[in-house]
Amino acid sequence: MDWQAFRLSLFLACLTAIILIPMGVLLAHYLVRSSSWLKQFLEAGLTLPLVLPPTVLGYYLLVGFGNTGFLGSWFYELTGNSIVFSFFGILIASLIVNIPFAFIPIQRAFEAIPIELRDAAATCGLNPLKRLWIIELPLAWKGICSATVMTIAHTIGEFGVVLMVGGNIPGQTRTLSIAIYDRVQALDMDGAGVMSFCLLLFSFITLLLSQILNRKSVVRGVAH
Amino acid sequence: MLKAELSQAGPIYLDMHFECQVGELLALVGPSGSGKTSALRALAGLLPVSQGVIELDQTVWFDSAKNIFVPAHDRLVGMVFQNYALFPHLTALQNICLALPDKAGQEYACNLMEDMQLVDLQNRFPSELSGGQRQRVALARAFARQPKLLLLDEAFSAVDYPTRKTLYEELIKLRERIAIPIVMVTHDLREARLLSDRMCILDQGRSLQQAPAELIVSSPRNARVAELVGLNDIYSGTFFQGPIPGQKSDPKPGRLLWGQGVDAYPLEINDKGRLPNQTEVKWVIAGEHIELMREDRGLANTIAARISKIRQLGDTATVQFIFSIAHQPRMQIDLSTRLVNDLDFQLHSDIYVRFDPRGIHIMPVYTNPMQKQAEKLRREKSLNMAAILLVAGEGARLGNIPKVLLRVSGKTLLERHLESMSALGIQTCVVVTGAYEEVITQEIQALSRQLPKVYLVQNIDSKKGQASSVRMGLERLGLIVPEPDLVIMMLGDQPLLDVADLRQLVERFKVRTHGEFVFPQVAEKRGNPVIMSGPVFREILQSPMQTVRGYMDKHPEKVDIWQTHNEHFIFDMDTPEDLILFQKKTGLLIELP
Repeated sequence: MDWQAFRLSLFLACLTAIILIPMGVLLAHYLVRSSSWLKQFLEAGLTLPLVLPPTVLGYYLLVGFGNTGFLGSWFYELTGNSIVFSFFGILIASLIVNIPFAFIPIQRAFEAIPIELRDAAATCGLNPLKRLWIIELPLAWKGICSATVMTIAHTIGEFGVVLMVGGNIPGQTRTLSIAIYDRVQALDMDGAGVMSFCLLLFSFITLLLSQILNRKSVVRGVAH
Repeated sequence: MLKAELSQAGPIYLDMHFECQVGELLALVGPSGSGKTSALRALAGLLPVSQGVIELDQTVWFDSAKNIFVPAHDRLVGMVFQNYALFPHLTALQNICLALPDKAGQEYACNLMEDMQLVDLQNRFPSELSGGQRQRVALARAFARQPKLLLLDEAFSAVDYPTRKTLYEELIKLRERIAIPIVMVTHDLREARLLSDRMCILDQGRSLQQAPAELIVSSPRNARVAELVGLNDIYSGTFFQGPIPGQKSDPKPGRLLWGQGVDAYPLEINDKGRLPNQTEVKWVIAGEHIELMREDRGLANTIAARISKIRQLGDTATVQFIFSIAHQPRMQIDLSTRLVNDLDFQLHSDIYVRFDPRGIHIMPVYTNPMQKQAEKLRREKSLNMAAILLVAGEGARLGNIPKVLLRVSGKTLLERHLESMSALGIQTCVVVTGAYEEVITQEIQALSRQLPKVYLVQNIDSKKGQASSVRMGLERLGLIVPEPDLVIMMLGDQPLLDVADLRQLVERFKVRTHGEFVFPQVAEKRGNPVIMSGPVFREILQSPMQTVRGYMDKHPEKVDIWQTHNEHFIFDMDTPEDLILFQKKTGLLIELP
């Protein structure tokens, strides 16, 4: 069992969720109320990583963040480090790949809040920030939870983009799924099996947890 | 006092203004799509409106000219929603406390809960409350805000009737405690009349009338308002200034011709000086101004009628009767069962109905000057008219004579018809003849005066029936006048028909109908002539198998049946009895050709 890879995967997943979820909340909250023509474009753009093959995404990230790429060279001049083949690189990659997983459930949750409730909150004297904090976030809680779970689970399972952008550097970019691939390549089927089982168990437990949380909220009467 | 003026072209059309005094309950009433909920949301600051002013006391909440827009959370508004809109994740108490102003303590909320009998329920979530309880919490929450304006959006429509009644009482109790303007939106007229001090009638985003409920019901400003407040018996007529000739009247007399055209019945009314002479109106009369009698006491506005339906429901009875005047209007009123028994009203009893002139409320048909103008233009528009005269009938029962050559006071029917057409301004007439082509041609050539240009077609095989003659007439006319505005198709054997009758029919086509066809109907009998529009004429012309009659049956939506009692439209000469009847009716001598 490659504990280093496991820790790295977990760290990457948590960091991705911590960064993405608040952004997802703000963006979804804005987009749900917006009627601008930009909305359609933004929504399509945000969902794009869902349908794009990881290799295509990986290719563009390599081109963009590589040392000869525009962003990559700029970053290199600034810090002396390259983005690709570093932890920072795979963090950026998983942030981009996970946008739809963080955004869509939250957007659906906000959309499900009846307009009358928003109106009622406004006529109760709550300003937009309080409305978000006291009314909308608690009502969209289910969606936010499931977005978090999906983001974490998906980050831990992400393989293609991470491999293309990060490679396989122990302690830096070798996540659990890459470690499994590495073990299989080295014909260490037992090592791969242990890690695969751990990943399977982890994914199952996370999904189960998210389901239990959702069920609980229904019983408490969030349903209108 | 609340003052609101709202107007915008879209996306929701609004053009309304209303006021609501402190302590007053104003009901915005209208059908769905009338803009009532939009108006309420605009008041609350939830719906931005492009133009207007909303003022409460001295505070301006919205003024498009000065670019002022106070957001919803800064307006002191309490609002109750149709589906409660309680926050499902908060308890009843939390819901109420959320709306408390910063300075108010929780005791205020507790007092409110006590008033609304919600104390035992304070820790329950909305999902654990009944509909009525939820609405009480919603009402308490609206009051917890200590609002300057209370808005109720169909607040009582989602609960059952007994609960609604209790909620009405709660609202009335709360109103006693807090004197603020209350604006309520409802589509339920009974609710509006029960709770409101004043009503504002809305329709398609416009405010039509604002007055106390009783006043709107007894004197609706126009026909649309009358319809919206649920008045069943709305009649049409024409208003004239001045008394009915030969009748003495009150100082400011006026008269109302009930009905249209030759069938109209004169009624005496009070002229309030608001309408010009000869205005087309709708009119209503409130039940208390109608008197039912068994005998005619010779009073003005007394009309004989016959009871057509009596329905008794406990203390009250609904009596429907048909007036014995030409256009046979119906009316329905509610009486006490006792009165019905005292007067011995039975089904088919003959009674007398008297309208108190003071109770007859007339209102102009159109409120919109644009529409008025459009009607005037339609009336004055000169149309390219053409006619088809069907004279192929041989009068088998009159001894095989050309009926159209019957002479009335020295003139043939043919000449009379052509004269009428000429007087109406018809330039072209196709005459479809049968076996008597020759004599008819001679007759036409002998006419000296200026008449429409006549084109003759002969239907040799006239036994095939009228449809074949009609088809020939249509086809010939199609060659001469390819694009007429209207085509009048008339029979040659309607001796009573004169230019006045035709003019009425044309008038009806120009102004009243939105359809493509007009024909008169007397009782159940289909009359003649028929008027069809140019497009329909061409349509029928282009499908050779289509008959005019068949087209009318197939497209009832295009046909405007003019119910009239004018027998000129159905009287024809088929038998010797018809001739005798005609002479009797008119006193004119009729000569066979």
